[in-house]
Amino acid sequence: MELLAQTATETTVFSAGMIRLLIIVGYFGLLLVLGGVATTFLKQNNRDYMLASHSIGPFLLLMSLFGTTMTAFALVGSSGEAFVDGIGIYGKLASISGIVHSLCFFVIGTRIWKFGKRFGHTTQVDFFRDRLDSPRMGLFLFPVLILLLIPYILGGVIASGTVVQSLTAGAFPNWFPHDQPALDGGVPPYLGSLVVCLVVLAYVFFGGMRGTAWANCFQTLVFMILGVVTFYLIAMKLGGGDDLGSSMANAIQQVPRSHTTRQEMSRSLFLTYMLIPLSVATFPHLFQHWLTAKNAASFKLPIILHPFFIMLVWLPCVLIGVWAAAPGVLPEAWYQSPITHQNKVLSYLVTKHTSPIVGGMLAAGILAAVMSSLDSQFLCLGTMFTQDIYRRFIRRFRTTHPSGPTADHPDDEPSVWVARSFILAIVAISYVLGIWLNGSSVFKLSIWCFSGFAGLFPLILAALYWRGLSAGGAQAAIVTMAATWGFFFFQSGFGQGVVDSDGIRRPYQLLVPGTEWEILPVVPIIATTTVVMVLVSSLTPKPSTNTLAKYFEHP
Amino acid sequence: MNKGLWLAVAGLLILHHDFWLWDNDYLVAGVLPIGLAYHVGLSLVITLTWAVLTLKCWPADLTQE
Repeated sequence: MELLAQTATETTVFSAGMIRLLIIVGYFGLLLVLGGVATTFLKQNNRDYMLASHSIGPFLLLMSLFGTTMTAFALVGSSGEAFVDGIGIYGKLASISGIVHSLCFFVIGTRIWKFGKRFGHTTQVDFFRDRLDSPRMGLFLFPVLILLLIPYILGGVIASGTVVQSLTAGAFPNWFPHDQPALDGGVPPYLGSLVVCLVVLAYVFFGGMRGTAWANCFQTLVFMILGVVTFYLIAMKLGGGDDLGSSMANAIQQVPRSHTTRQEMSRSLFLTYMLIPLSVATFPHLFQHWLTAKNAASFKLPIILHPFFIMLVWLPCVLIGVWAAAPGVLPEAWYQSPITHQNKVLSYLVTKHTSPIVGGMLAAGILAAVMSSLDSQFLCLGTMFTQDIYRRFIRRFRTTHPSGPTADHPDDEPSVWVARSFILAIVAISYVLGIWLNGSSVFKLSIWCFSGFAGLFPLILAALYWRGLSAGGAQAAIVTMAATWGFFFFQSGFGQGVVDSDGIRRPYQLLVPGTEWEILPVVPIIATTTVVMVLVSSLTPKPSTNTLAKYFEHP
Repeated sequence: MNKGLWLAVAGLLILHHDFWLWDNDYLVAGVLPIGLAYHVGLSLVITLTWAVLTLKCWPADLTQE
């Protein structure tokens, strides 16, 4: 491979960036073929398109749940954050996610699956509407879920553009010049993000949930295997030792103490990060994946192996980010403003320390992690719009309105193109915002999105385990969560942090009144949502006895 | 919900907050900062704990589904 790359460089037929680009394009082609094959297995009904007919077994469920939860955030965000703040990021999000994610799969996911299969739910709104006897739940929940999904999708859009640009640097020096040598000639983010979005849209549109689950599984394997390969190659190059152990020992030697300890990290902040992974309990795209399970026992493998897989992906990325904090590993300017450059750390090191062919494969691996989350998010957007808005409100309006279907227009089945149009609209909005916010930290954007979903955790928990929850309480909880989240998001400069008296932009954090304890906004969000939910539920009518009997077998 | 499940999760959450290693820069085997090595070890303990919990605390009503 080295020889091929060397030959390519000498003949200048293909630059290193061009070789990486061709491999990325080949990978995209492979995904499209996979989506096409999934189409041949697709049964022509909505249930198969949205839930793969409840046919997903333990292994595919493990891979699709893991691939969906591990985003650009896990690879690009973790290495970038470790470069900025050091080893603390692993405890803040990786090991704690091993506890909390599996707990959510165990106590929330299995119940959602059970009720979903029994009562025919497809989306969260379906579940809450049925559980609370409230036909209007969609009007409260749907806009909030969309609002929170957009920053999540944004993270993927931004990361994919950044990665493609860094890894194709040198491919088109005349077309795409850049003032930074590390990015000169690379495919610009607006183009890279666009192509990634289009490829994901294509296989989601054609393959549905089955295609998405297959692509997720394939892409998860790709990014796990290539992640380990990346780690090995970068460790050997950075450390320069004879073997992996001595190279790792060399690489850590020059890293500042601030990055090998947590001396600059707030302990109270570390504690409150514990609440962030609760968000998996309310991700709409994960909800949909839970419903695809063949049986309850299919959840056991994901519950057991999810924490181990998190370790396999996060440890190499965090170590690479920590090593990058040593002087001289990255361009000098990046150490002056690390937050600005943190998204580019992993792709820069891949470009610099691997051959173009290996680099291209690793680029595909990073993009696999990004795309394996985007696909589920795109599919769930379409499912939610079709189920919760189109079927519930628009089609009902058409069937009762004089301008609705007539004998001349008998076809009133929910049109797939309506769902696809909605997906396209949301993706277009996310794409434009992603280009506009291109310098933003993927990590910080994701944390805001996770905080909002975590704010809905008390609601899903209460719906499954508390008979006293009322529709009024649930609606009040959703409004409270949206209001508190929106307030803090606005205060934080829309996730960009606040500028202090020295003119330096810092992350937005709260202090516990009367103390120096820093906490995340997710703490007051969850607290106020819970209090409001309990109070309003105690004052408003409960669901009917028949409904409660459906969900609570023991009075 | 099974008490064993919640006790195990509470134990893991306590172990997760390793404030005693906060400023320690010792390198395990000369390669891994101890604050990171501890959490990697904890990830393995978490995996084993979930394996035991799915065997011992799996809800009876889900076994029939």
